[in-house]
Amino acid sequence: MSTLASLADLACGESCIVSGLQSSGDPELRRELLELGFVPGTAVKMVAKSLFGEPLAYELRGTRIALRKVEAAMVLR
Amino acid sequence: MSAASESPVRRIILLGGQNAGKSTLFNAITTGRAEVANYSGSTVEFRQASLRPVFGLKAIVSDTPGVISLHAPSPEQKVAVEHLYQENPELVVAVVDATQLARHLHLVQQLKRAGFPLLLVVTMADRLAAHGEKLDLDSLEIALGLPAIMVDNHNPDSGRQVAAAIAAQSLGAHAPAQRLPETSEADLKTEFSELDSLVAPCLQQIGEVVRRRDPDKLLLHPIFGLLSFGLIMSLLFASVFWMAAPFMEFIGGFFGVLVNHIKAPLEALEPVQLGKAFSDGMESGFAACGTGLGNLLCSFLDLLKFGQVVASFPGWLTGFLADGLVGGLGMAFTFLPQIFILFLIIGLLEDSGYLARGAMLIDKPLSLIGLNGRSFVPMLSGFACAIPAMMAARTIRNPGERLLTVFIVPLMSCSARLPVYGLFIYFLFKGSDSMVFFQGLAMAGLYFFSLLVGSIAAALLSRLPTFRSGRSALQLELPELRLPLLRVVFSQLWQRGSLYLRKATPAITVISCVLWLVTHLPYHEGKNEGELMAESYAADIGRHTEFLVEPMGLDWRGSVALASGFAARETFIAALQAMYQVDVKVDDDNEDKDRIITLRTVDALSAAKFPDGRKIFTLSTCLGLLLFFTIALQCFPTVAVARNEFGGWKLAIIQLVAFTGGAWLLSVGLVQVLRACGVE
Repeated sequence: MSTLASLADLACGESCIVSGLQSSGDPELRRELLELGFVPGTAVKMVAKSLFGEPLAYELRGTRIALRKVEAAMVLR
Repeated sequence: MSAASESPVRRIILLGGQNAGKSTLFNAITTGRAEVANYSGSTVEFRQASLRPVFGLKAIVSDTPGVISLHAPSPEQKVAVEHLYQENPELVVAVVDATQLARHLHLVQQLKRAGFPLLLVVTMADRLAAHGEKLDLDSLEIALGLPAIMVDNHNPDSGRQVAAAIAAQSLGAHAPAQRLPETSEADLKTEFSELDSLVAPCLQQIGEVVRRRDPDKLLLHPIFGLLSFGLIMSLLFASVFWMAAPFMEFIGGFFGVLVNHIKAPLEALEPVQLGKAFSDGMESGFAACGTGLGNLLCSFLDLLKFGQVVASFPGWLTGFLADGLVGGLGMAFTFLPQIFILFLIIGLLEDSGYLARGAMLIDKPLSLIGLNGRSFVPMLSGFACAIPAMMAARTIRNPGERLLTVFIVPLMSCSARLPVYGLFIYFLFKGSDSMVFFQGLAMAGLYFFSLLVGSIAAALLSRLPTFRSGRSALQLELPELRLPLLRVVFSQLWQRGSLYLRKATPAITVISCVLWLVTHLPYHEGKNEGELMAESYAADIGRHTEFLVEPMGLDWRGSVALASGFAARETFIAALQAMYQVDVKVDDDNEDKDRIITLRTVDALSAAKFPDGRKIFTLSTCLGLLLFFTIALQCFPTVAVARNEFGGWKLAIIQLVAFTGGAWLLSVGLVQVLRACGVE
């Protein structure tokens, strides 16, 4: 699964388009991410990365959302 | 007009995503006399208030926690949605942020499908303009098939505009809303793309985007972000203590006069220790103001022949009224300034959007000890008072992390422990004024120690199943940084501060009354405090429980003092002074009054001996006591609130026993090890 490019391995300042969500993994987490707006076709930009490697902050749909690494890895690009 | 007064009261619910501007709107359209209510069967709270009468419509408006979807998984959102269905209001005001329309309209579409009567309020018009965009509201209304209005939150007229739009709706009975089946993931995706194509034609780029420097480049920077976080937190702490000190002196002065006035008929007049330890070394102009106001009230009471009434009371009743009741009230109020100032600053940081960033920065270290970035505010508040801090933990979504946060909050060194630390540090430095720097260092060390103990406790406890339930998640929205809106900040400040006033003040007062009775009955006329205490029921209990404090290096008198600390920790000092017969009578006009009392206390403590002639307050005993105070949960009001937050007595009792028992064990261990090493 780690071979798939996700939001987690975006570089700071880099943008991408969401292609989908990891099909395996926690369905509840997948839902939450979708409800937050991480749906296919959404433009996402990474705006910050904490010193400890996570959380990661993303800009999408006019807002900024901080995710932990596992959460960000769920969103594919 | 008479028709309006007979018209039924309408129910309106504000609903929308986090940071969409609900609270601002709530404050703008309601009377501001908000009642805080709990959703049935939960600890989740919401605010409710009447629509301002000037708007000519009788309605009760409810604010809700941020809801992003009717099927949101977080417990807080779930209860809000449940409440919405049960209440079935005449109107749902859906609040959406103009700069994130598609995201926020997702909920609006669900509400529409469910059949709720809707009014759409698009907020943040000013921000949209700053983004160089313009919203065609008419097109949006047509596309959605809903009435809509756009407001700018900074515009003072926005409340009237929204109220007018509300009044224009036909508010009447309607069929109950439908429960929607959970949308499938595929449908969710379709819905969002539909919303994107619905919103796109309504938005026009009319100008250049106002390019501002992105503050997050600094605030969320891996290194400078953490540095600024540390700086902001240090400033917060420093200002809480500096700003609160004058107010605490004022309150101390005020209640001090009141207590002394009531006790005036008693021959043995004992000055009261209220707020005394806080004002150590401070110029007490503020205390003088408090004293002045107290005197004013006393003269007023005298006009009502209050003094004569009190003089006819038996001595015990006078003492009880003065020290138990009024003294207890004073004690509860002494903490108000610190609590209000801390919450004021937290509110300013929160409304500006910084707090969410702080929670993000600290999430990783906290997650390692089983907590969450959202645990940060409760822990921070815990340094002022555990009671509102425990309540602040409600924003944590994961139930295990929330319980764990509530559990460890009392380990944060609250303001009530400060006077005890102050006295014993002073004592250990032999009451000398030199080495002030090292005394300050020792104080800071105790604060860090409490943070360390809390972290270790959290790390250990997070292995227990009780604190592991549910999946840990962050998903933290970082709202755009802005200047805080004072109206919103003060309304929230009042809401949080009044929680302390309503819950802790009565509890502290009642417990103070009970403890006074236990430490003064059976009452013998004409005996002084120390003699009374030595013959009281508390002393009996103290003598019977001496075996508990003996290994800590204390005698039965220390046991009584410790027990009385359970009303609120700083009573410990007053009890200590009474038990060890410290003469606290100083001329009121003496400017050095507080210092003299502290010095006498230090002298009396160093002179205190066991019957066999050994000194009681040795280095090991004092260190043991300090350790005991950093850990023990010696505060009954906290236990009562913890019961509320845990949803039952079980965890609250476990918390009380674990912290107090643990503190005892550690303290005994420290004292015995030190003695074994030859440190007396």
